[in-house]
Amino acid sequence: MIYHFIKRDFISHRLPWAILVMGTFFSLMFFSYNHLIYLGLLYAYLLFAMSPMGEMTGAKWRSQHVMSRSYLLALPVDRKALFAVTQWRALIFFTPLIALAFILPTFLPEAQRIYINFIPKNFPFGIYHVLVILMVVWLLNSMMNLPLGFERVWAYPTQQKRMIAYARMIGVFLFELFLIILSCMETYLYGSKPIFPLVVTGFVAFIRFYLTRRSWLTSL
Amino acid sequence: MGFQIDIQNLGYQILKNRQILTDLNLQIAPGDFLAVLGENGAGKTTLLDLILGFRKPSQGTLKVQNEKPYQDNWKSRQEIAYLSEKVDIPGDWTVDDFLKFNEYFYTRYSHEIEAKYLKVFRVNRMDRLGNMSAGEIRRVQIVAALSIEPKLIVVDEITAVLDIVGRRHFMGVLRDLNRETRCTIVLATNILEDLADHITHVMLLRKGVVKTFGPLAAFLGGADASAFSRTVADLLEDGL
Repeated sequence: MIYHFIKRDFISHRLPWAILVMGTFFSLMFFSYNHLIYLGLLYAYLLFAMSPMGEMTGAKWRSQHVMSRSYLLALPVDRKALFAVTQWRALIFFTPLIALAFILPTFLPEAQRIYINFIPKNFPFGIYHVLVILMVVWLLNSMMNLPLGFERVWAYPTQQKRMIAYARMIGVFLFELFLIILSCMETYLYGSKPIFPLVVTGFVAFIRFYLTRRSWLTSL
Repeated sequence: MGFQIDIQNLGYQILKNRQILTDLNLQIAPGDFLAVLGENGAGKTTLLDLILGFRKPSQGTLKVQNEKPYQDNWKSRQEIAYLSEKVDIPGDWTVDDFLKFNEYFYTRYSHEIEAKYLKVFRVNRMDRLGNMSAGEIRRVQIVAALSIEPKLIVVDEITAVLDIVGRRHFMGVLRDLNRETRCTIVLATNILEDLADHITHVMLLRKGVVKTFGPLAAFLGGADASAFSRTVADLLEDGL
């Protein structure tokens, strides 16, 4: 089933994938001497990963741009398994970002200054990579959860309640981001064990995954 | 034979204090063709969402073939066709893309039936969904949904966007399926024209409460089927 969805995603997004590959190729060919190009590529990959998130989540209301969740949830498929498939589908679009984040510190130590300056130098090899994956899982689920939350809030009867709910949602998102960054910085500044940010990020990512799944399965 | 739906003391509320459905008690027998009627906001779509398991009842029970839909007994959805105005497909897909994508999930999917309905609803496989009107997209969904040889068809107000011919074909196909395969049909609609020629049962919902439920003949009380629209409209307008 996962192949069935991913094949369909690839057909629908073959043009963005082709542009990304060509953009990467030409960037590295002509500007590889400039460290800033890697920062640019990271942002480009991040935007690329975020762009199909609406499609992955599916819309509650009618939209010709994305598949509706009514259709997805009416399919004869275990809904929890369907959510897992949705996560894998979204993760595919994060693979360029993950790959670059994985290899960047290896061949470009300056990377730690330009995009991961809160991650300590000499961070153990495996832990850094798991941390990147956990951060992606958290980000992916946060990006799925925000539109689900907005859909829910639109039904609130008064503007005051809606504003409070929006502020709370954004506040929770920023708080989670703060926790993740703080856990990494704490290791950097005070020298606690590298496992510490891994545990904190893992915990935040798991909670966000669980809440997003519950919201996705019950938000029609 | 179609699916049976048992509803007991069913209630549904949102936002802690807004009651959408209140104390519904009814049984939809296999082979029934039920029209769910009511004003906008009466709770028709919510009832259908509960039948599909999209929502969990706040009170009471709702069972489809003795299973609670919200518990995600997904295998039974192999035989449930869902047609809704809320269902949509990306516009960059062709009809063929969608039919092939949809077919993958259904073990009983029939290409023979698909070909038959493509012809009936005059749908071209190569057309792009983004270039089609809302009514044409509904026709594509109808073809996909009916090709699974369903035992329960749940229709949430899609007839409003179909043109006169499309609607006539659709209602005719539903009636034939109901009579030939005895599949159960639950149709929420606001279009009453010719409805009495097709359905077997009627339910009138008002503010989440069932005001009338039963066989069509009993509802009409001996009157002609042509009196159906007027009877429903009068009942709704009079506050039942």
